[in-house]
Amino acid sequence: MAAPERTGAAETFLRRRDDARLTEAGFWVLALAVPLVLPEHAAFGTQVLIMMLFALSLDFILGYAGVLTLGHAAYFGVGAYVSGLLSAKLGWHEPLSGLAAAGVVSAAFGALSGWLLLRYRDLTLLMLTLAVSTTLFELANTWSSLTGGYDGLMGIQIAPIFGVFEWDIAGVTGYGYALALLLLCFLALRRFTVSPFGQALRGIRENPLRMRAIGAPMLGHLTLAYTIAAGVAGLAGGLFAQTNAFITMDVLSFERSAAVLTVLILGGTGRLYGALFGALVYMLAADRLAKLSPVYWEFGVGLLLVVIVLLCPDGLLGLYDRVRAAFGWRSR
Amino acid sequence: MTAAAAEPALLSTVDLSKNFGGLQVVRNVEFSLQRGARHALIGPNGAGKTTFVNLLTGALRPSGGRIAIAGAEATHLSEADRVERGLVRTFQINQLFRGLTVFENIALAVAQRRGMARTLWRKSASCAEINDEAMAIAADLHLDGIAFRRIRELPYGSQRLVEIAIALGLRPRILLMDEPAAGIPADERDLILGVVGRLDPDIAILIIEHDMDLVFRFAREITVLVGGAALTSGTPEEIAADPRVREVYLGSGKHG
Amino acid sequence: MGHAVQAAVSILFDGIAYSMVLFVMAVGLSVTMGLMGVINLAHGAFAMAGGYLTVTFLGDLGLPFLPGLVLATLAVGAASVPIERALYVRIYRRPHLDQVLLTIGVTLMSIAVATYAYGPSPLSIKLPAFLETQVGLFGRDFPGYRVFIIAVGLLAFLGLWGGFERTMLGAKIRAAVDNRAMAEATGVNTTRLFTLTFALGSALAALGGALAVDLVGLTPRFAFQYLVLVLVVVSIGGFGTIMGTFAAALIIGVIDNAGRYLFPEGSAFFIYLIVILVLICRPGGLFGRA
Repeated sequence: MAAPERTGAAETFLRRRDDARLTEAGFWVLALAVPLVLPEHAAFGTQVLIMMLFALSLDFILGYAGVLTLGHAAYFGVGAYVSGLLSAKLGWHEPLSGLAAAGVVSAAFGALSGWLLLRYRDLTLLMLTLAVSTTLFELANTWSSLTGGYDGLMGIQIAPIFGVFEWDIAGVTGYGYALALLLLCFLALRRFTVSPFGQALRGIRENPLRMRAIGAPMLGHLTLAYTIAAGVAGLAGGLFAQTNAFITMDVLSFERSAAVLTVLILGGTGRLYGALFGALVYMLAADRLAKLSPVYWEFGVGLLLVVIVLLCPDGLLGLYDRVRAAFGWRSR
Repeated sequence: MTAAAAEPALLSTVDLSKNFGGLQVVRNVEFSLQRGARHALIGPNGAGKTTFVNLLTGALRPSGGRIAIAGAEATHLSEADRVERGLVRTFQINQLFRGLTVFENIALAVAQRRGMARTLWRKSASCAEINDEAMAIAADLHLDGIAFRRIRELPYGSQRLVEIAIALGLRPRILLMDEPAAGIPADERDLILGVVGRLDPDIAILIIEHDMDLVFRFAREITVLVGGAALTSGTPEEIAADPRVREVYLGSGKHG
Repeated sequence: MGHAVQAAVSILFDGIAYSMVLFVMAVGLSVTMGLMGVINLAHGAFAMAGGYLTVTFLGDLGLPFLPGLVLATLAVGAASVPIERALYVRIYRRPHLDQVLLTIGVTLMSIAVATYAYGPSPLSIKLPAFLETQVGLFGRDFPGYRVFIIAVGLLAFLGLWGGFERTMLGAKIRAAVDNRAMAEATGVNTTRLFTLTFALGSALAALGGALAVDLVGLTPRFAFQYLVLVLVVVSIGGFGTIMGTFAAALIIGVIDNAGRYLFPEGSAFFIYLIVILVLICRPGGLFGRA
C-alpha cells in the first residue's frame, strides 16, 4: 500500500535524524588519546568521564522524558556505596562484578522509587525526588558506623581488571576502564533514544496529555526510563567509588544533584553529547577555578547558571547549532 | 428494527452523570452509537458536550451511570484501556507534539497501537511497519508533502488535519471528534468535511460541532444536549423541524 | 514522672519556637509559589541575607536589637524588588527546569558573596539583656528569646491571616492564586501584585533568618540548608495558604526538634519520610488543592 518512495522518505528522514555522524568519532578518538598524550592527567580524566556518565543518565530522564529531578544523586550515591561497601566491608574486590552490582541495585531502587513517584508531576514530583535523596543522605549519616558518615568510607580496594590490568598510580588503567564503560553506556543509551521507546519518551515530554489520549501507559514508560537512568547513574557512582578508593556522603548530596543539572544545562539537554561536553567544560573549569578561589568558583557557577538560563537555555551545543544556522550551514 | 440495530452498540451510556461540586454538568444521559454511525452532538455553549466526551474517553470519572464499549462494561476502564478497545478522540484545541514533525506525530500513535512503544533495541529508522503505515495515513490526508515539517511551523488548517491523522493511526472503531473544524477559516472547512467523509464507513463517528452547515452535511443522526441533559435525538430533518430545538438553539438563525 | 513531663514541655516549647521561625521563613515562599507558580529556590538566600544583615547592623553598626532586626527585614524586602523586576519576571513563564537552575544560580552567588564578606565560620549576635532573661509563664520559667520568637511568629501569623482574609490586597492575592487569568480580567494588576507579594515574602524570609541566627547559628550554608526545610514546610502545607504553612511549620518544627533531642544519632530523615508520605497521600499538601 505504501509507495516505495514514501517509505524511503521516512527512512531517510529518520536516518538523517538518528545516525551517528563522522564527527562523533573525533570525540572518541580524542578521548582515547588522552592517556597517551597527557598521561599525567589520566586520573583527572577519569573523573571527567565519570561525570559524563552521570550526566548522560540524567539526560535520558530529563532531556528525553522531560522529568525534572532534584535528587538524581540518590542513584549515583547508591551505586557508590554498593561498590564501596562490597569492597571495604565484604572484601569483594573484583571490579566488574562490583560495578555490575552497583548498577543493578541502583536500577532496582530506581524502579521502585520511580514507580511510586512518577505518578506525580511538577512541584510535587520535584519535592519527592529531593525528599528521596535527602532521606538517603540522612540515612547514610545515621548509619555512619557502616558508611563512615561524614568522615567517609575508606579501605576500598580494587583487584586488577580481568586479573590482568593492574591499577597503576598514574590512573591509566582507571581511565581505560572508565572510557570503556562510558562508550558502552553511551551506545546503549543512544540506541534507546533512537528506538520507538525513545520516541515515546519525547512524546511524553512534548505533550503528556496527548500521550495519555493515544493510550500510552505513562507510568510504565516513565518508570522504565527512570530505571535505566538510575542504573547508569549507579554505574557512574560505582566507578567513582572504585577509582577514588574513598567516598563520603557527598555522593548523595543535593550539591551533587545540582552539579549534574548544571552540567546538563551547560552542554544542552536532549542530545546526549550535551552531557559529554557540559561535563568536560564544567570539570575543567572546576579544576582550574575552584583551586584558585573556591568563593570565586561558586560565584562563577551561580552567575553561569543565571546567564545560561536567560541567554542560551539550549546550552553550549544549542548555541553551536544557532551559530551554524546563522551561517546557513545545514543543521539537524 | 434494522439488522444493524440488532448488534450491540459500539458505544453506549446509561444514565451517565457528572457533578463538579454542586454543579451538575451532565445529567442522566442515555446515548448509543452503532457501527458506521455518523452522529453529531450539538447544543449551546456550556451544555456539557466536551465534559460528556471526556467521560466517554475516561479522562473524567462519572458521578453516576454506566458506559459500555461493544457491549462490555467500560465505566471504570482507564483511558489507555479504552483506546485499546478502539475508542479514540480528537481535541477541540490541537493537542499535538509541536516540536516534532507531522510524520513523527502519526508514527507515535501507530507505534503505540502496534504495541511497539516499548521497543528499545530497534532503530526507528528500521521499523518499516510503523513508518509505512504513518506515511500512508499522511498521504491519505494529503499531508505527505509536509510530512517532515515541524508542527509549530505549519498553518493551523494543516495542524488540524494532523490532529485527525494521529487518531487514525490508532485504527479507531469509535471516533469522537470535538469540533474538528474549530479555528479553521470557512473556506477550508470543506477540507475537513471531505476527510471525515472519506473515513472508513465502519467506524462509528460522533462529532461535536457548532458549525451547523457541517453538522447537517455530515450527520445521519443528531443529539441535542442542553444543560447537560439530552433534549432529543433524531435525523437532521426531525431536529431541524423540532420547535424545542429551534427555541433552545437554532432560534436566532444559523451559525456560520 | 515530673521530670519527663518537664523535659517534654521544654522540648515542645523549643520545637514551637523553631516552628515559628520556620513559619516566618516559609510563608513568603508559599504565597509566591501559589501566586506566581514559580519555583524559587533562592528563598533561602533571602533568609540568609536577613541573618547576615542583622549581624552587621547589630555588630558593626551597633544598632539596638529591635531596630536592627526591623531594618534588616526592610532592607532585604526593598532589595528584592529590583531583583524581581530584573530576573524573576523573565522566568515566570519558563519551564520549571529554567526556574530551578536560575534560582539555584542566584543562591550560589549569594553564598559566595556571604563567604567573601563574612567568612565561612558561624556567626552570632548579641541578644539584648531583656531577651536573655527567663520569662515566667504558667508557673514555669522559659527562655526569654524563645518566648519573643513565638510572640513574633504568632503576631505574624495573625497579621498575615487577617490581612489575607480581610483586606482588599489579601482578596486580590487569593483571587490571583485561584485563577490568575480571571483576576486579571477583573482588573487586578497582577504585575504589581507579584512584586508586592515577592517583596513581602522576601522581607519575611529575612525576618525569619534574622531570628534564626541565635537559635540555630549562621553560616553561608544556611541558604541551602534552610531552603530544603522551607520547601518541605511549603509542600506539606500547600501553596498559597497561610494556614497551611503555619500548620506544616508546627508539625515539621516540633518533630524535627524533638527528633534531634530524642534521637541525636540521626532523626533528620523522619522529616523527609513524612514529606514522602504526605505528598503521596495528598499531592497538593495538607491544605492545598490537589
